[in-house]
Amino acid sequence: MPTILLVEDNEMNRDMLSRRLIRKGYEVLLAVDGQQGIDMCEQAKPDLMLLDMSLPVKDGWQVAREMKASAVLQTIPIIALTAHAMADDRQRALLAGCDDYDTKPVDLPRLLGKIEHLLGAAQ
Amino acid sequence: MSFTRRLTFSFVAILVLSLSSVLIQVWGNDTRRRNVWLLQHVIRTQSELNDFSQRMYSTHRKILVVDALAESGTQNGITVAERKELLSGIDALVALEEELNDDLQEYLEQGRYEPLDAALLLQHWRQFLESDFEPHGEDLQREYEALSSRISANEWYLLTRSDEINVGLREVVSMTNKVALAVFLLALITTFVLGYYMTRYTRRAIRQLQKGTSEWGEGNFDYSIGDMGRDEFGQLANSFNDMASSLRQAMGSAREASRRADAANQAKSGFLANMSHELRTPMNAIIGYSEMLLEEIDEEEQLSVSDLQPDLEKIQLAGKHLLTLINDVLDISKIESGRMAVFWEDVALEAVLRDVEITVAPLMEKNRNILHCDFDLRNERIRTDVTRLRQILLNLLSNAAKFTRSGDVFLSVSELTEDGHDYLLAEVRDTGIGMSEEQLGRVFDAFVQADLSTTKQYGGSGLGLTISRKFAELLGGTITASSELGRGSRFVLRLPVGVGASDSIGGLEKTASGDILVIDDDLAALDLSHRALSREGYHVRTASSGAEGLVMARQHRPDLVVLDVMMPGLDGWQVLHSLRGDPVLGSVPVLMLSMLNEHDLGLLLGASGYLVKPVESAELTAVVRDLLPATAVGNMLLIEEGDALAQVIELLPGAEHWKIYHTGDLARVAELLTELPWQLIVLGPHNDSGQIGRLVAHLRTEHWRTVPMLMAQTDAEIQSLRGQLGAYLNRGE
Repeated sequence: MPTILLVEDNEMNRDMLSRRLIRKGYEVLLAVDGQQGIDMCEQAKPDLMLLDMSLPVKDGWQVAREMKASAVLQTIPIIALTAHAMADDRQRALLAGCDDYDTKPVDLPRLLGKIEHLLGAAQ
Repeated sequence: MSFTRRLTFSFVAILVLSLSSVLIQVWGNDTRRRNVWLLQHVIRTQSELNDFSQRMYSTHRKILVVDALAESGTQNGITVAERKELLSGIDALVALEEELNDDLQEYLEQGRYEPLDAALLLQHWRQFLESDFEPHGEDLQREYEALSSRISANEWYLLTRSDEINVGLREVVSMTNKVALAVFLLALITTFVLGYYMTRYTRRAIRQLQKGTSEWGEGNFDYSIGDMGRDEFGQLANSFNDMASSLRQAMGSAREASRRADAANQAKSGFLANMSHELRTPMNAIIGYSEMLLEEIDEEEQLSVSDLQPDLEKIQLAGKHLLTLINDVLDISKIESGRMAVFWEDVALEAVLRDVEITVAPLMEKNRNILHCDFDLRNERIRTDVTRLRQILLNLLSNAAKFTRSGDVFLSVSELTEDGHDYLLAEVRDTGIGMSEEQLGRVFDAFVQADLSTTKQYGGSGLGLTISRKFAELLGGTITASSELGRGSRFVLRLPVGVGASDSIGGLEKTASGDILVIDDDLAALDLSHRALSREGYHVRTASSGAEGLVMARQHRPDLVVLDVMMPGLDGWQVLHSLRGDPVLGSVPVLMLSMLNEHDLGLLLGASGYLVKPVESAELTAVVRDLLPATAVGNMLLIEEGDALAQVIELLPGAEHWKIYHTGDLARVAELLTELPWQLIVLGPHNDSGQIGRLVAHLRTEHWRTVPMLMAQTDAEIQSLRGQLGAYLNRGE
């Protein structure tokens, strides 16, 4: 099964989303800040990254920019996840290099749809 | 040089030129007239001299004839009559000579005339005629010739003189003409030159002014017209510059206001975006976990309740956090929209502080912090809004506890007086992680600290400091922060206290009257209701059980009963039933308070009002005011002669709730004013307008300032007063 790296600093949301993804059969890796997220991408090469944007140490936008600038990591699709739901938040995320965007609270079927779409495109 | 001075100068120059022209004309005329007069006299003298010369010649001829006759021996060659005529002719010539001599002397210059000296000849002629014609022919002939040559000389002199005068006349005329022409030309040149300079100067000045106005018109308000001297144009330029600077300031403040409005708008948008983010985060957990639980329940057969418990607890935690957030956001919005009421009351400060100390103790223990309290209180009771004060202190202390581990937290409270005002100073200091300059700058901004993972232990929302600062400002105080990274933070709250202690604050609100009995087993709730209603001016009794309540109701016959539903023993419904069955108390309105929303049931069972707990003070007092049978709302002093206004007021709805004192006697008014508290003063028609004026001035002084006053002197005013009065009278209902 594909491996998804979930970068999320909020413990409850991390716990909740990771469990739901595991239940759907994905392998889930966890990172709690932006830098850790990049490090884990380099080590574990996940198939997809779910990226919270408001992160400590290195925020999501910075992570996305660095990922897309790296020859090794730029192929990993990124879905931005944020509770910032204003109109230009989506634009900001896509501009930073994210491949897709979803808002919190997470609508799981919709998020799964986006994950599968991106994974399908990557294969 | 000022514009006026330039104009004056030009005017004076032209005036001087014109004046000199006139003077020269006058002088010319005068000289001409004098010369003409002189010429006339010279000519007359000439003709007189001519006449004299003729007569002398004719007399001389006659004398020579007589002399010749005498020589020839002819006696009586001349008749007596002829001699007499000759003699009288000689007399006339004597007079004529004198006159001529005077004229010559007058009209000819010194040395330019010769005296005629005819007197000797004339005397010789007279002697010749009177002395019987002794022959003197040769002598007389010689003398006559001498005289004749003198006459000729004088004739020559007179002729020369008249020529001279003629020449002078011509010269004067030509000179005055020349001068007039010169003056005319000079005036013309002066006018042109001055006109040119004035025009050029004016044009330049106007151009400068125009440049200024067009610059300002284009919005360049920094432009300033250069120095234009101190004349009218300069003053105009200065006025323009002043106007531009006022405009600049006005534009500046308008821009500043607009910039501030933009900033506030941006802050608001930012706040909204942040709030959306903050609300969505716990919502995400709630929805996520509950969906997951539903899936688990669906999919897994063997699921025990204990499996679900940890996730349910997470949902609950997130839900509570969400509630805190929403409440805090509502608080902020209430404060910002000015709807947050302040309740000033006298409180025992030390008790409040001890209570705060106990409340935060668990928070201190959690991070193994020690709380050190140091209270230096001068007044036993102070006047403040104790709820807000508590909230601020709890916020500051829980923050200190949160960011300090195994350290110390200090709470020092003291009072000070400054400029005649009393202040409460509360300092909360910790030895925790502290803040950087940058963090310190944003510490009072909303959501700076908001983060579910760090705030969930305390139920904080990241709005605590924002709200605390707003509360402090609401109470007229300040909160300031200082901090050192790694060393700890220090927050100082400074609140004015006792400022609201004056009686005038109560005003009309304290006019509510009536006995109220509150029955509630929850002592905290009982106290809350008691405080809220007392504050409104009601007389409040409390009972902590249904049975006690019934006894007190029968004993005191309250005007209204506030009744809690959930009570041990006799519950609210039973008490209500007993009250309704009582012949005396049956009609007393009863307001039910309950945790459950059974509004309709309550009314069905005979309650007059129904409120769901927790009840806000404002809500409680508003409903009580609605339910209490109308009693006198207050004292109205109606001052008028006659009863036109009194009749109008009597008929107004709501008037029956007022105790109206009606008088036109101003001495009585003075007495009444000091005897009773007044809630409304109405001034009607009165003849002594001077006294009324003084009365109004007196009522406007400090003491009476807060009492509403309405005036109506004419019929039209009385009619238009109806609406205003109606509004006042109905306030009590």
